[in-house]
Amino acid sequence: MTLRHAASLLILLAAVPLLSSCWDKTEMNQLALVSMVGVDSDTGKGTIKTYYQIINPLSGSSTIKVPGGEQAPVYTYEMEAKSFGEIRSLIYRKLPRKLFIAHYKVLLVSERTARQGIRDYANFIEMQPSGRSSIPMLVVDGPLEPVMKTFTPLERVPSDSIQARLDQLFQNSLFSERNIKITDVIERMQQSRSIVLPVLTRTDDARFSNSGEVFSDIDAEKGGFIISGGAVFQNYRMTGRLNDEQLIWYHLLEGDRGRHVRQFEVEGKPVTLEFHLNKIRRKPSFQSGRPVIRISMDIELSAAYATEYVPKSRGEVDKLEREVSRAIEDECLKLFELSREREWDLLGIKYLLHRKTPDHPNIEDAEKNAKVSIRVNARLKKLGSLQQPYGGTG
Amino acid sequence: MRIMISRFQFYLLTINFIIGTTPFVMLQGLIAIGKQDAWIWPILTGGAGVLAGLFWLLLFRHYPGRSLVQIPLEAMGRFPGAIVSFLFFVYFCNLSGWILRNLSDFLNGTIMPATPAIVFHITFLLVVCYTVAQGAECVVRLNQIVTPLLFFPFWVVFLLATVNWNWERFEPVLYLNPVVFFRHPAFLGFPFLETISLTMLFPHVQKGPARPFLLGILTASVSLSILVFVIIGLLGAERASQLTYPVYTAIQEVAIGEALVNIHSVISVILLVLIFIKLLVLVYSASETLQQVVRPRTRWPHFLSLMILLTAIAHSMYENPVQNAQWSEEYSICYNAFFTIAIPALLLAVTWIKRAYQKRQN
Amino acid sequence: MAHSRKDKQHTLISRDLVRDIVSALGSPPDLFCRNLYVPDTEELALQCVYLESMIDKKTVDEYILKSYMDSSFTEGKAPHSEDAENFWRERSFAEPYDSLKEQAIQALIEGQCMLIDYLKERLCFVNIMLPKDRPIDEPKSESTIRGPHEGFTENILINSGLIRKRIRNPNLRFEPMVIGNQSKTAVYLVYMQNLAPDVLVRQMRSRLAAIQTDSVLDSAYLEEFLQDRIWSPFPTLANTERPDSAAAHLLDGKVAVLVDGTPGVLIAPITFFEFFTSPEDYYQRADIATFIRWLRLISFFTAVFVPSLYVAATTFHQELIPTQLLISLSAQREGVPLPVLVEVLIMEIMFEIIREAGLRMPRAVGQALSIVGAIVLGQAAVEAGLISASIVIVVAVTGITNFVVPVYSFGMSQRLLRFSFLIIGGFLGLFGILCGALLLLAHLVSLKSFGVPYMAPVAPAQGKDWKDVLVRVPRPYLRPRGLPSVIERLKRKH
Repeated sequence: MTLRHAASLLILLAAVPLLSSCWDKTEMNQLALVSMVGVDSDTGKGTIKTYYQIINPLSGSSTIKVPGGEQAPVYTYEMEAKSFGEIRSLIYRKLPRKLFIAHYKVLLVSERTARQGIRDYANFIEMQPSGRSSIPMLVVDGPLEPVMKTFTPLERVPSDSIQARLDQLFQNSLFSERNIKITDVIERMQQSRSIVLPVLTRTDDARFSNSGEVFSDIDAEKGGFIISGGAVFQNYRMTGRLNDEQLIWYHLLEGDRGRHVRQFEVEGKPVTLEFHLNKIRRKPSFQSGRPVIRISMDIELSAAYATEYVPKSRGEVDKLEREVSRAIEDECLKLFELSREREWDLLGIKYLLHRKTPDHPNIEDAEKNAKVSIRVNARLKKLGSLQQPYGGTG
Repeated sequence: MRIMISRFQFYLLTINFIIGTTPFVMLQGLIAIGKQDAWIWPILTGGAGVLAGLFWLLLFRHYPGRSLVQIPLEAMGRFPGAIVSFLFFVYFCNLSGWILRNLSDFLNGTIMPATPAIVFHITFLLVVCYTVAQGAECVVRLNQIVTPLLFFPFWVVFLLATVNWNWERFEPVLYLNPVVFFRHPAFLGFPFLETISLTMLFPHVQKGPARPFLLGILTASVSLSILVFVIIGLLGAERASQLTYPVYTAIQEVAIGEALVNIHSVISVILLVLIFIKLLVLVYSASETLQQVVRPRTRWPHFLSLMILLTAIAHSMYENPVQNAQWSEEYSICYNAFFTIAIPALLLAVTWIKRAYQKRQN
Repeated sequence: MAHSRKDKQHTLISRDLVRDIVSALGSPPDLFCRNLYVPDTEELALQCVYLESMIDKKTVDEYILKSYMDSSFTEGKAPHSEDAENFWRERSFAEPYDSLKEQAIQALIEGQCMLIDYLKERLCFVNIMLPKDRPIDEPKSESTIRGPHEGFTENILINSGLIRKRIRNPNLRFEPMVIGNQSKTAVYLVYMQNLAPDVLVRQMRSRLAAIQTDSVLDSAYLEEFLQDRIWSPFPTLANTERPDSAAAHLLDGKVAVLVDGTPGVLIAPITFFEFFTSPEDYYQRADIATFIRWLRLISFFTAVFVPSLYVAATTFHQELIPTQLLISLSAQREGVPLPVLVEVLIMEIMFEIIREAGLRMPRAVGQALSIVGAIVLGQAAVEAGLISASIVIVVAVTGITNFVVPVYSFGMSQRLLRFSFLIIGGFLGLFGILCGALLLLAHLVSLKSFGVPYMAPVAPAQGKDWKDVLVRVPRPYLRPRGLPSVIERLKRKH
């Protein structure tokens, strides 16, 4: 074989890997960009139902105008199958584009699925190399389908709306925390702890599946949903619910740093104060074989929203601080009682004992007998622009 | 023209070689055994690696200026020596094929699932063979340039990931009895015993290879330790022990602001450079073995056949990852020890016997 | 007897010499022969033959012929210069005719004026060459804001003068050579005797001596022979048209090659990072110079990698792109028929075509071309749905960053590299770009320029020189007395 033949053969051979390497290529407009995923289960048939909310790229304002009116920002597809993996093959009976879940923002789980257990889904997400598991997971109160097929005002894509709300809640309140991602769920479940995930409730029975109607109506309440309350998960199953008030104290005990504004009662008078956690310490010790968990919290108060009453002297400040500390301690203890009663272990006592005293022979029993003492040290640090609220007779 | 490698270049090469495929292959098993204390283990194995290094240096002291495969030729004569050198060649080829297979498994499992594995093998091998054909100086200089480009993105990304850091993941600290590690000797062998392939470069290192080699092993073990430490801190022992590629998952969770949320492809590609360097050294050792034993006039046929051989080995290395994991668990320490401890011990014994015999004769 | 032979020679010369010369040169139209006769006779006193295109006619008219006509020559007071081979050469009629003819032809071609003095029976060659040169001007491709604005011209003597006036040091050596079998071009090898390593000068000399070619019309012709590796997109010799730049290199211990007939001067050896320096760096403040150097490095990477990264990200690794951007890019691609790789390739090739056309467009038509280029290819193609808008941006950014590198030949390498990376990125994604980048690095690292590693001082690492690579350290901190360590190392190798 002459050199020329060898060279041409080599070039042909070199072209082969180039050609077969494009099997991974996908054009951008062949992708179905998933923005929200919903998981429901149908106990009757023993199947699971997955909802995919796909972004419609042509509905943005910067794109080429398409004749025929407003296009929907998202489309929801639903698929039923026996296991999550099967959906990957079944979905293309309905979906014309390749499923691309790398950019999805929120995962919704229906309450009935949550109560049955989400272990399968958590495993499914972690197993996929392309699926990110650092996504917040929320539980939907009631049926999942109406929530997946509703538009939200102000944010075109509903998952953006939910994610933005979670971010704002995290900074401006104690109703939500950062650790509500699937990764946190898995980690906590593997450590035999509990986790509380936010709950999505519908505010209205009406359903708005026409984007034009929603975006041109002034009433933002219609057909929307609200993030309120928490769902307690243990061992991948939902075992109970917390209301908003309990959620505040749960997050405080978790060590969340959000700034929460709440109306307290000081000496029978209402005062609206903003408080946030500075430092929390948890120390276990044993008293006659019984574990005692001492939780001490340093809390910073701000009277910037206290239109009812602003303390005038040091004595009043001390009294305010004492009353608020006591109020918070009482609320936290109430939460602990509830958690003990329902065996939720919301304060993570078992985990704490496991970490600090791993050699203890029976941590389970110890946790059941544990006593908790909470000490709150609240300090008023800031005032608003008014030294004293305007008085008057009226 | 004499090839000259400076001590600093060799030091960097040692570190990158040892770190090589470890982030892809070893982490999951190690954390499964060690749980939250697994980060101690690489330091201990580093000590064992230093001992092995000292053992090889003892052998090399009797043959100054010679590389690994020239020693059997000198010690045992032309024909038996060639057989022993050929054994080393087989070892280097097997390791290279293994690494190629690890590479294609990783890429197929994470960022490019549809591409056939052989494309990865051939493309990578082409670049590796080109670099090796330019000589040892090219290999070490390339490593020198690439190290800062590797170092900064990798650690910067982990710094960005520290948003998810949680010190509680380490508690209870130092709870584990280190004896439990010794029941899994597979982690003793990999990756430190494979550094015998760096000994092919010993004769070219200026002012003696001992210090950069041993320092490199120590630094690499500390780096691996830090890496395991970071993975535990980011993911937690429970998750990291189940995930196939913990490093990849840890990086998947990194988000730079709100915009760049999926930078794992970039970082995995950067990590591939570590695999590249390890493969460079191994293929260099393999081709140098051929060069020094056979002494051909033209070298390109050797490179072409080496490429074909390595692709075939990579393809047929193991059938599925389960088989690979089981084999590594049970047999890899024997396999590595045979080539890296037994054969050098044999050579050392032969050398001593010869010296004693000659001394008696004189 | 002797007398008759002399007479025969005399008659031969007077009858045949000029005619033979004319026929040997093929009756060129610029050959002139001025005859001066002895007053009041028909006897030829002087014939002055010259090629008007090569000589200074004023000198012929006002000096030579006038002096002759003033009879200063005939009275034996002819200018007699001892050193004279360059200015005034005399050959007696007694020399063999053929040799005289050869010398006459060669002299005429070299721009000398031949005087056939019949009275004194000698042939005189006067060097009054005045080649038509352009004035010393700033080179267009290497202009600076601050600093000298002189540039080399096509005359090798003027160029040597420009270098000499900057380095008034007796150690500055010029070694002349003649290269080119047909063109016989003058080439000077320039170096500082006390600074340049011997091994370097020897190597350059031997490489120049080994060149076998017919013509040398530009330094690029020589560069192709002198370079270390032919099949490499990177130049291993620098080319400069600025005398200050050449002088700076010479003072760094490098060698330069001047070629007659071209303003481009070759400098060797050169490293990769020196292509990112320009003389302007040294005429501006150190901090600004450092910033601009970084800008150049970033531009290099942008020009080479951006199109391929764009194609790889949009076809293989869409998860890298932020969500909002991905949505708008997706929207832009609706209705576009071609895959991204093909689109980018077409746009890049169109850009190269526009650039080449722009080089040769007469200025009057240049306006129309920019309108065509910008509006038609950019705007209209996007609106017609042939390409998407982001591709125009990518190509424009790439095109602009291509010109940031100070050395033009390096810009050419960038273009080649860009296309290769585009192909490999389009087929293998980020993995392909990584393999290509490693291949490129391996190639760069193995390249040598006259014994100096191309990627020095980064690899092999030479700490002292880092002061001038990524940062430009202020002059007081730069090596006050010393050469770059690559040159030092060469000196140590004998």
